Amino acid sequence: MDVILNIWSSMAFDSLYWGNFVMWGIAFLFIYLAIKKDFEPLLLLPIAFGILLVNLPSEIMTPGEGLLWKFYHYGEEWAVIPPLIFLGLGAMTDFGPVIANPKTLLLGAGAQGGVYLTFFGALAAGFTVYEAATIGIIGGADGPTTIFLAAKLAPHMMGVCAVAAYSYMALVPIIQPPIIRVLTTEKERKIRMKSLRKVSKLEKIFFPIITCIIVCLLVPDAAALIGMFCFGNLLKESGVVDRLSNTAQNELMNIAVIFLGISVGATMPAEVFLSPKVIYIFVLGVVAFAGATAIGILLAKVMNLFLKEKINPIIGAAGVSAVPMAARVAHKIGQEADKKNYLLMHAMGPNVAGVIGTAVAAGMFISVLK
Amino acid sequence: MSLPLYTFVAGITGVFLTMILLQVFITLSSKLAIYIESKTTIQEK
Amino acid sequence: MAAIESPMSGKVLEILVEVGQSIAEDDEVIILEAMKLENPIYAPEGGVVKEIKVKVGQQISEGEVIAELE
Repeated sequence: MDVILNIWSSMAFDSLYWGNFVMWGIAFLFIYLAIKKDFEPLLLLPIAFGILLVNLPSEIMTPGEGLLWKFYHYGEEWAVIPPLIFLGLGAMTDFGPVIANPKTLLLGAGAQGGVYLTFFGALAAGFTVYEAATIGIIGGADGPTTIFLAAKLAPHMMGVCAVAAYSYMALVPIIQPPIIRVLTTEKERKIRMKSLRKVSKLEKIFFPIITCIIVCLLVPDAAALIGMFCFGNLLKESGVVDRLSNTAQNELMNIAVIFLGISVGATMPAEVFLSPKVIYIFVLGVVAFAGATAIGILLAKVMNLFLKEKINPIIGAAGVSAVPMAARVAHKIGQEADKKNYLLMHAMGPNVAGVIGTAVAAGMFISVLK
Repeated sequence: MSLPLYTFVAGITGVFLTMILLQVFITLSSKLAIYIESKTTIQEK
Repeated sequence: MAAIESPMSGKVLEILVEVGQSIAEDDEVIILEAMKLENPIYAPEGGVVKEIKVKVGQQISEGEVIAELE
């Protein structure tokens, strides 16, 4: 009889409570969305599995000992992994559209308006300044930056904010179009933009170097993210270290994403996730994305008041740096108004500029709040 | 000024200032790059 | 004689017209893949296809001639 009791108590069943079952459901839902619906599977699948693992009571997340805790601690709490992902992203990004039309950097800045809108919304909902900033940065539509900021300001929010960010990134094709249509006239949507000029290799080499110097001097707290981003970009554009560039874009990215996903998921045991605050965060997340879209478009329209060569305001929505989803959405909406209007490459300008913008916004939060 | 308001003002100023400066310097560096390239092609001719 | 230039860069996925075919403005000429998005490219004017200058699988840039019309 004792033997049976001993065996029973060494199993995990005693520690289960209803919350764990709910989280299993959520994990299964994410697995389904990732596999069947192609919802950001690269991140959502590892996150889903992390959620499942942490809700199967064990020592896997025990501080100091657990496997997943070690991934989390060295990767996230020490904010190593998000910058590594930025290294890979930089090596994958072509800044040609930005260099050819540097005004798009302003559109990348404009979309950050959504971040601050959400920041105030979160404060109104009762979150602390640190939590509000982390929720706000969801509007930057950038997973690694959200995780990085959470690690620095509000680690307990990391899992929820990351999941919200990635979920809404996948929903960009649903969230953005109505907003774009409401805020622009048919005539504005038909605006054709002049062909982007060819950008030389030397310009593409200057870009990461100059960006790195300027951003790191102005916003030192963004140095980890922007520094790695520019490093990756230079690896790519130099043309002489293709081995390194390929590794950064592929193997390194994949390794970083695996560790990031599963450890972020592991920050969501039932006790942390199942609180009413989480609903607020998901609502605020929509506000963030919608607001960023709206403000990006409005900024483009304002800029048009001063420009001879008009910007098609649709691409303002691409300042929401879900690359390249937001650019694709902008392109499709443009084609609805005029079949022969090919906005994709023009939209890529604000799209990638937005990555820089979000990292700068995160850096500013850190410099003010820490 | 309250902390949230300060955070907002500092943040939005910082973002726009950085992006504007970036725009200026990238435009300048492009001009430099184009100038360097034109000089080397003239030399080759 | 007119040339249809590509309005954007991408990889040629499908060629939807043949030499000798008579096409109208806004007809789909080819499908380009860019940013993992399939983009139909439409004829800027009508005419008879005289020559097709690209192949399936070819990476083309903005401005490259796709086809010639008369």
